[in-house]
Amino acid sequence: MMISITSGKGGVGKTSFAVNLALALSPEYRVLLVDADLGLANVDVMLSLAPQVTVRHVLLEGRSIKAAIIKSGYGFDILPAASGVVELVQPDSEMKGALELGLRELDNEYDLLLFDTGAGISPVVLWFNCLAAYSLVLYTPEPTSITDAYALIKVLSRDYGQKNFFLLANQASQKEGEQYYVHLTRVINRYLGLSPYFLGSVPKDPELERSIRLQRPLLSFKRESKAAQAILKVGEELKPFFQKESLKAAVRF
Amino acid sequence: MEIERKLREIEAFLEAKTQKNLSKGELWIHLEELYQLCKELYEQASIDFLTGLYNRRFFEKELELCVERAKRERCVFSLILMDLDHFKSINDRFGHLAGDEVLKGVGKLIRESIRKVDIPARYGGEEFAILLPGTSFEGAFSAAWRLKKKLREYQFGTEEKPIRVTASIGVGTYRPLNGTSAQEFLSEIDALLYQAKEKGRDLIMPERESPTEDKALEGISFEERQALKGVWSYDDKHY
Ligand SMILES: Nc1ncnc2c1ncn2[C@@H]1O[C@H](COP(=O)(O)OP(=O)(O)OP(=O)(O)O)[C@@H](O)[C@H]1O
Ligand SMILES: [Mg+2]
Repeated sequence: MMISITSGKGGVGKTSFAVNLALALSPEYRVLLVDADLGLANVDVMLSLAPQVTVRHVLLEGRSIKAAIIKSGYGFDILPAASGVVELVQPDSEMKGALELGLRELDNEYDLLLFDTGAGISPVVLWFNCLAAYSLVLYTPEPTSITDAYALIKVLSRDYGQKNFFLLANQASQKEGEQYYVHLTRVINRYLGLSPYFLGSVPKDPELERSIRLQRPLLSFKRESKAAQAILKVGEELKPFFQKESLKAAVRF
Repeated sequence: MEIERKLREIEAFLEAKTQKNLSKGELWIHLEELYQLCKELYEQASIDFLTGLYNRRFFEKELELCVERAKRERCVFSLILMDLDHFKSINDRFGHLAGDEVLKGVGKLIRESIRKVDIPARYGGEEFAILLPGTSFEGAFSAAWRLKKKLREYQFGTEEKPIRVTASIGVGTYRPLNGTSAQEFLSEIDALLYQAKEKGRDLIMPERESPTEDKALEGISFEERQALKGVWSYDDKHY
């Protein structure tokens, strides 16, 4: 199953959440974290990895997609993006075609493909969301983040046929996250006719900031911290959806 | 089942033929039966016997199913329609047998260029259709592009009498939210194929990027903005 982690506004915590969610799920599921910010890698930086082969070699030099996959060292695998490769920031349709076929192939080998998308609502961000079965939209409790989250959901649902959304509050207390969810969902419901599923809130946690400086996932050394506990809970919330999807896949083919 | 019974009868008849001397009348009856049987099987078949691809009937049923599934499960699928260019002149210049060989060859090229889950069909005389479940526009476009390239590079016929073929192609993606019917969707792609012919053949329509990407992002309306304001101006005392 493919899930995109996305936000509209940048810097709300997609990559740090994605890395920790991958870790939270990886003992039970085969997880591949795809750095979907193709031309501006951020997953490998966050984990201080130095991949030799990246999506750049796959899309521009015809290497197999599997040759680019690396182990994170924390139980899940990573498909790294390139750093500062302009052609990949907005890949053309041929590259996207090749990438889609590759990702679909990987989807058979992993239980879960997580796309850590870039910021904004650029065509490539929309494209990854369209490919995913679910779009997990992160927001923080501030007006610009909420507006951007709404705008992204609107474009995806109206023009791209994406109807399956998860909402997740980051850097918000449980109560705050929930209040924003209730209000945001009311607007989404009224204007877009959708009811996104609430996954919970991840609090603002200095331990998480420290983990970023250490370039290690928070869950790998401080599982008892507040943010880590919240992310583990989100993982639990998600599990029923994986089962549903695998049933659906079995019926389909 | 009727067909099974008939088959057994004919089998028994064939076994008996060495022992009995059958009258002409009996022979005719069995021949008639054999003909009916073939016809029935032919009508029920889902395969196009020349190319080994699915036939038009099966394709149309599958298309309906894809549309239903897309609506129910929110998944997209794509369709490629492809028509060989100037096929009549191939038949005229090289004969119908050579024409049939080309059709067979195209069938083989199609099968080699698609995934297991895709559904390739011979839709009409020299028209082919491919259903690509769960595939968005970019994936379908790149599949069509590769197929077109392979086709124009391939040499049909013999060394002495090589035959070159090109094709015009229409590609589109079904998006459940527009609520179009299978028939409407098919006509849309057929119109694109027609455009490709009009524009000079050996082309894919639409010409490049996904049509949804051209659409400017209109952003959000004033009303929506007002409603969103309520999201952050809520008051704690409500809780
Ligand atoms: N729960 C949290 N608690 C404290 N700080 C956080 C939390 N989540 C994110 N941050 C801070 O936000 C910063 C940005 O996070 P991150 O890089 O994951 O965001 P992003 O959405 O991936 O950004 P981009 O859009 O640039 O890819 C981090 O460096 C971290 O300091
Ligand atoms: Mg990031």
